[in-house]
Amino acid sequence: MTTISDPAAQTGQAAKTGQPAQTGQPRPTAEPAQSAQPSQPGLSTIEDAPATSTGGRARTLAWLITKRLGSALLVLWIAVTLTFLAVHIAPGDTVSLLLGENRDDPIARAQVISRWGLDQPIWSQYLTYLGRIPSGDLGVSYTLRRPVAELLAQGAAPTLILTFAATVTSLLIALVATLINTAPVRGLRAATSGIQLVVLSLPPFWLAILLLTVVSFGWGWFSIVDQNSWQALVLPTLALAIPMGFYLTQVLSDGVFRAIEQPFAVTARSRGLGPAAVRYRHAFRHAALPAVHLVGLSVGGLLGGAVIVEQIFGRPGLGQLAVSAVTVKDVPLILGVTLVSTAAFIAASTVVDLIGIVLDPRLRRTQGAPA
Amino acid sequence: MSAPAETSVTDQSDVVLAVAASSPSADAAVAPAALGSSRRYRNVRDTVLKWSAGVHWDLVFALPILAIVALAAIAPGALTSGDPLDANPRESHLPPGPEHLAGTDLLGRDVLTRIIYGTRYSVLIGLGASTLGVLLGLLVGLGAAVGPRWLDRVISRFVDVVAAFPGLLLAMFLITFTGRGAGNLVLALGVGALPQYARLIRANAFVTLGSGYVEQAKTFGLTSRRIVWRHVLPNALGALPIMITIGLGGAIIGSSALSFLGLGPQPPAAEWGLLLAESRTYLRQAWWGAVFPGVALTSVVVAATVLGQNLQRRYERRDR
Repeated sequence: MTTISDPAAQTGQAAKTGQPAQTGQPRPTAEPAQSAQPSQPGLSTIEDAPATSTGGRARTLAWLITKRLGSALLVLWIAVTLTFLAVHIAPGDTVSLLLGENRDDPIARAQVISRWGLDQPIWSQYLTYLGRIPSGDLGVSYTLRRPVAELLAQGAAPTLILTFAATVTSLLIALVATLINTAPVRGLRAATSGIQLVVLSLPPFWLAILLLTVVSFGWGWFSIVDQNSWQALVLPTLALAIPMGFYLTQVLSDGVFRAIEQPFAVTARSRGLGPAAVRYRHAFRHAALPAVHLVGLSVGGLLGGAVIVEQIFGRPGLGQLAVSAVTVKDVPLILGVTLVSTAAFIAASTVVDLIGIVLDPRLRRTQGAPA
Repeated sequence: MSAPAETSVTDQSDVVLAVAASSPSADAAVAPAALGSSRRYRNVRDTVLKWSAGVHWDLVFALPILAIVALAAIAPGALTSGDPLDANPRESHLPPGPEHLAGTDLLGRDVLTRIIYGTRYSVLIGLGASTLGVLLGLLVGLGAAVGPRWLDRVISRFVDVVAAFPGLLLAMFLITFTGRGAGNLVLALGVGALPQYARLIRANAFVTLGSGYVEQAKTFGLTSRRIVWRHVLPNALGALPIMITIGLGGAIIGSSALSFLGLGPQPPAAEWGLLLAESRTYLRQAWWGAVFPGVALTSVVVAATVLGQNLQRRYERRDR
């Protein structure tokens, strides 16, 4: 958050003194009158901020993207390593842990030992583990007696569809709710903040139960009987998207309210722009970036929430697999589910960050600077 | 140009509303001249406004709820004479009435009594998880802020990795190894909450380290160890109760969600998530079984959040 809000504060200060923000930088004096004009300080700093020539700009952009991708891979690698450690640190015999209820079956025992390399030294086991994952070999679930990769291939699609639908819906909710929430109507904010607080405090699984009971059973809408129909997707999506949408609304609204207190908003007002126009034309754009960043982070919450929502609506997916794996201590299966959803989460937040880097030059300038 | 001037006034009071919960004071300054009301009315109104100006209405709502919750967690017997496990098959699924204010469940157990006795599980697990998360975050976050640069890098990366596991799934992953139960729930949720606290505490510690008084302490020749003990640690500790309160709502939701999945306290415990899971199947016959525990859960989370936000606002104002 600090890397995002800091440049905003700088922009504001620059506007206050009537100076463009990049005072320290040598820059061509081609459009001094235009950029000194305080009417659009936010915009002028955004355009002037990145490096001087287009070549340099492209290189920094490419380098930043590479760096971001590299750090995503690093995080993924450490996450995989941590799961490996968890399996080995866990109390008890590792072979029995991986076998679960099959621990007395000598054939299965031999299979697990050879597959995980458990008769080898620990570093060799680790390399075996690292080598097996990219090839999609995640072991065999002893409860369902099928390869974990096969189960994941079936379960991942419904969960990812649900998560994606919920992300899009929560964005729509956030946009509409923020438009209403930040309307220049007196006392509105006090009223809406109460509603926000209650919705944000609803336990997601309770919301899902209520939706299922009232809308599906009570009114007979969006039946979940046929899991392949689009109707079956509506209520689970809403159950996930409503809390997330309100959360985003909170962040987006805060950003808008902070933005309209900034000098550039005052300047826009003094040019004769109405309070609504200032909000929708200037403040909204200003507030959008932290919210976009948050969307990436919220995917993790949605993937976790999908576990419960799938359980309540009887949807097949990673959540169902995770619940059954935890309940019977099916270690290979929970390993697979955790790795796949962690990878999906890392991918989502990386993509969102990359979009941010490409869209907002201020992020490029401040990246790497101490917070 | 009178119209824009007026709207800018509303804009400002909008802001005042946000900053201080007591907006009426702003109104009182502007309105009386415009209102042609009698002096007496104004006097009464001003007195009422003066009295209500200092009242935080959100706290008036939140504190009694938290008091009842605390009482229910410590001494549930004081609030109900019933027994949460007292089953009576003849009274299965009775609707709310004078005998059973919140109805009965499938086995004829009183829902309200079960909610009251269940407070202990939900609140203590939530409190435990929130506290554990904050303490772990303190250890990790301060280590990163105070230690050498390489340690900060290692720790920050580690925190990134923990944060990369999607919320509930990390807890479920841990529970696979530790097994179910209240204690393991606290552990799993506490570890899951580590990243958010560690980042916050690290950032706050850097703010302290860069502050004027630490600069001054350095010019007086204080060693960095003394600076940590006298400035950084007390500052971080001061904010802990607030962080725990703010995190409490999320921790309670998380613990009841995991219990709902059957990973927390086991039946016949009256944990709220478990109550919801049990009554879910009979929703069409007995809505009360799933509605009242949910209402209890939501109001506790609302109350904890309100209190946490209030404490935070007060704490931040202290710095100015």
